[in-house]
Amino acid sequence: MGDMNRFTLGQMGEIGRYRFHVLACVTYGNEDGQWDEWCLELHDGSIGWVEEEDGQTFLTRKYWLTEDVPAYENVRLGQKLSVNGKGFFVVEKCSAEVMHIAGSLPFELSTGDTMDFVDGIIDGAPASLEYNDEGVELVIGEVLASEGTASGTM
Amino acid sequence: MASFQQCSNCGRRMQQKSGTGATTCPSCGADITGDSELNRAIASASEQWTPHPNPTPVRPGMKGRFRGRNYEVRGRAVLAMREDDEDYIWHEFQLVAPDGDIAYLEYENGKWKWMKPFLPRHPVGPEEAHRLSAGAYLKLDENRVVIKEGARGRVLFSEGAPTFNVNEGDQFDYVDAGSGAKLYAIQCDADELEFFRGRELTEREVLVGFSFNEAIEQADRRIVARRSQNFFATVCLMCALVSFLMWSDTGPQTGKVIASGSYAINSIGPQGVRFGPFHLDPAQRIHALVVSGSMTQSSAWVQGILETGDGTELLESQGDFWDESGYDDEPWHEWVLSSQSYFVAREKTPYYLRLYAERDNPGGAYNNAGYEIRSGVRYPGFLGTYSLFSFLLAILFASIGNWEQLKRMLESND
Repeated sequence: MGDMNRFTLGQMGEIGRYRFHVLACVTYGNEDGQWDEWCLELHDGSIGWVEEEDGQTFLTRKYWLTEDVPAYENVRLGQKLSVNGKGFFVVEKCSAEVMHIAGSLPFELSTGDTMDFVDGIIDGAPASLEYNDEGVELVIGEVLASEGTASGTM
Repeated sequence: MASFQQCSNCGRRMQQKSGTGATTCPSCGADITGDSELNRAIASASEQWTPHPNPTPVRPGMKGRFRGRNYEVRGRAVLAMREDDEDYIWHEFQLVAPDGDIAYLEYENGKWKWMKPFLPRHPVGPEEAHRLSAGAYLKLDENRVVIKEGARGRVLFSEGAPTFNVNEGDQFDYVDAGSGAKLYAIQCDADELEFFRGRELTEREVLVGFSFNEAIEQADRRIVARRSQNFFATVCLMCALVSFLMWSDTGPQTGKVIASGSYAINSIGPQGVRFGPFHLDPAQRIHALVVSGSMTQSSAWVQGILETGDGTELLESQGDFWDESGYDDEPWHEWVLSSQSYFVAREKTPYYLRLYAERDNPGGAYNNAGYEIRSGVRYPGFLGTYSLFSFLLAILFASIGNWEQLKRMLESND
């Protein structure tokens, strides 16, 4: 799934226009494979996640939902949802389990927890609705770079 | 995928278990290694003994460089769509770069495409895509493209280690679109909707990407040969065109009149009327004898015979001439009132022209029968033949030079 070895726990550095501090790495897995998501504390104090797909590196952030969204099982591929006043175009649905957690997360998450993901596109940017036991979270991504530079000290 | 070995002692062939390189022949007990030249040849052949052999030189595990990035071929999938009880097959190779960048090379009927996944600003869902027929417009990003095809595909075969699960029998819906060099595709299965964009690659670009030097040289030679054939075809076509234009300005009306005469048809007796003498110049090459008649609402047979002084007949030109008028929805007038023959004069000997005429209706309105001898005539037969020959030659060389493309077009139309 690409070279995500650019990060190590505790690393500080710069990625894109952000300075970061690596807090944790969560490995998700399902029947189609596994992927890593790195939890970063950004210079403005917010939490961001870095993941990689098809060679592109995304920095994603979570947002509160301001309107209801359909239940996971009611969402269809190609459906256009209204999410926080924007059009969310559904491109993928999948479920995954937390396979491994390294580091220290700023919230509760445990190995074995399962989550449902609805991936989509908002205004040409990657977005996702993450369904878990506590509700639904909106995640909007920003493409950093195809090669995803990350520099810094450990 | 099965591979086979052959015992070099007794010749028995057996299936080779994966991971084993040496075994004992169950027939004669001889040791069999997997390293013999024969077994390597058999292993290579058995690679192709699949229902879907790879028609390209690209193999999983190969490394190449495209668009400034190094890639490794991770897997090949053979995909098909069914139409009119026939499978149309194409091959997809997944390429993965060290930084995780993913691209796909598609091969179908000798053509290559380079496609990469992307997130469109104006995505289209599967239901909407199904409603779009070939020829409809689609705008996924800043480019407006034309739908080329939409169908259901399925996986026939896969090999290698792609980054995603792909199994024989997996089905998916797809829409292909493009405009000029830009290609787009939408692909949808039960769980995922993906968008791709890319462009066509030439065979040479793929060969260069994988550094197939010998194949590149062969491809370059083919390109040079094709260019020469197309150039020659173009020259032949130009010659055909020029000849055709010159041919349209040939015939008995060309050349110079060196002798002519006429006589009232009603006055021409059974012995005919003799004109001359006149001389013909062999240097003027082709001559024409034109015989004509003038009449109204009548018909007559008119003949002109070129003869020597002693009456030896050399050649003739004749015809059943007629003139007719009438009225249907509007007045009409039709006629055939001349004929011609071409000849080459070999001597300057004095020549004569004897004119005959037989009226079909003696009470009809007849005027004169006449003749012309013209020299230096542009003979239509030569130029017409040359034009046709040049045109056929142009078609032949254009076909040879573009045979592969023609073959693909014929196969796709089937």
